[in-house]
Amino acid sequence: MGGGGRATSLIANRMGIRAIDLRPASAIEDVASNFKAVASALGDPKRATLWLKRLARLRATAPIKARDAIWLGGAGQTIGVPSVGADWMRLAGLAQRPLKGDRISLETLLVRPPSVLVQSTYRHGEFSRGAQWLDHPIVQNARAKWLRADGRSWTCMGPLVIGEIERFRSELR
Amino acid sequence: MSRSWSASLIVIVALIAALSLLTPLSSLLELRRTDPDLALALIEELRLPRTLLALGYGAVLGMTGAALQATFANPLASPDITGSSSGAALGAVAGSYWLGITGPLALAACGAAGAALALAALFAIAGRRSETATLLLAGIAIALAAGAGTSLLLALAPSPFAFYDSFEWLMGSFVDRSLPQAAAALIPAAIACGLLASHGKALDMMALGDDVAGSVGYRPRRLAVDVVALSAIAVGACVSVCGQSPSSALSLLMRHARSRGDIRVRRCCQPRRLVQSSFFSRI
Repeated sequence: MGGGGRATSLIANRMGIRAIDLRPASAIEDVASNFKAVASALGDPKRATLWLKRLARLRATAPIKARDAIWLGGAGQTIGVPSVGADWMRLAGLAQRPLKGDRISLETLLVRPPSVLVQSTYRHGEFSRGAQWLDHPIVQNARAKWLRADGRSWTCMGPLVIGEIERFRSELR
Repeated sequence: MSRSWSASLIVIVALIAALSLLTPLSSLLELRRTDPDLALALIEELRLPRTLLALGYGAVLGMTGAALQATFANPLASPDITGSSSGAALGAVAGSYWLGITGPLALAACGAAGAALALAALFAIAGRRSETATLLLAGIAIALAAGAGTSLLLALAPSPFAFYDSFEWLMGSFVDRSLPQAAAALIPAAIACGLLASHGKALDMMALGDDVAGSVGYRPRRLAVDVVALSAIAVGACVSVCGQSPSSALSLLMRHARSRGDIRVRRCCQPRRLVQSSFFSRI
């Protein structure tokens, strides 16, 4: 790990604190591994059990059919396929549509809207060109089922997404 | 510039506007076959605002540039060289990212305030009828300072997405704008440009000298203030929606084609001159 992360480890080591590196998850299996690594580091591997059970339940009950969906951030930014984000969406019964440059254009949204749009509400009240893009009439009037996502959870794609997926399922029912 | 050349240019601009509205044609034809309403929406909501803004912004640059040239008695004066477009971007960024102003008209007012401050600073530093080099250096200094201020405000803005917007503010973009945004930019700009055009005769006199203008009953100082205010409104409204104008190099080329050193405003405000500005804006 470089930059600020390496400095954090160096400072922690100098202070006699054990530091462990958690690799960014590129698949849901990595999230499960990170549960175990953190619980072990805390000296209580059982603390991962509850999270692992919730995750296992989600995976066991994943819908067989998935609806065409697009995760929508500011300026049309979306998540790549394959990615851990797309894997999480699949657990909610949503198939993230692969898009060039991981961005959806207004033209695509108008002509070929997905069945479900998952919109991040992260910093929604603050001005930015990306946030302004979300106010475009084409976006506002998109013919799709809308789900609101807490963008903070989706930035790390870690354990907090489990709650998001459970909520999505209940809203899509 | 001959009439035939001007007519050709008008045809080319019309052609480029049509291309901007209709291409890619295949997707539009396919859509028209399956869902004509959607095809119309594609043109109205996506391609029309982009085309209108490009043409309108270009015309605003041409018009305000001509008025500023007469005011400063200098054929190089223009919104970018005088720092007014950079000032407008600074005003819009300060208003939107720091004061939480999001309404298009309020943003346009912030842009106009920034542009007016930049032009007032140019008056204070270089003064009217200054040497070309003085005007250029003062204008470039103001533009650089305003550009640096814009970058700083974006870097320190509370929104983590603000800095990603730097390119749009500093280089400009017509992409993904809506009709309400186009209206917020072009309606105030059109009113301001209309009022500027109504001052055309007076500005032509002022270009010949304050004494000449004064001898026929015009008040040059009052006129200069009017030009600064109206130019600031027109430029500020466009910048608040599209970001700063194109590069200075393109702007200089545009000005050369438009006036060739002739700073008579009524000539520069002729439709064909505005079309030339729009042509370069589309490019």
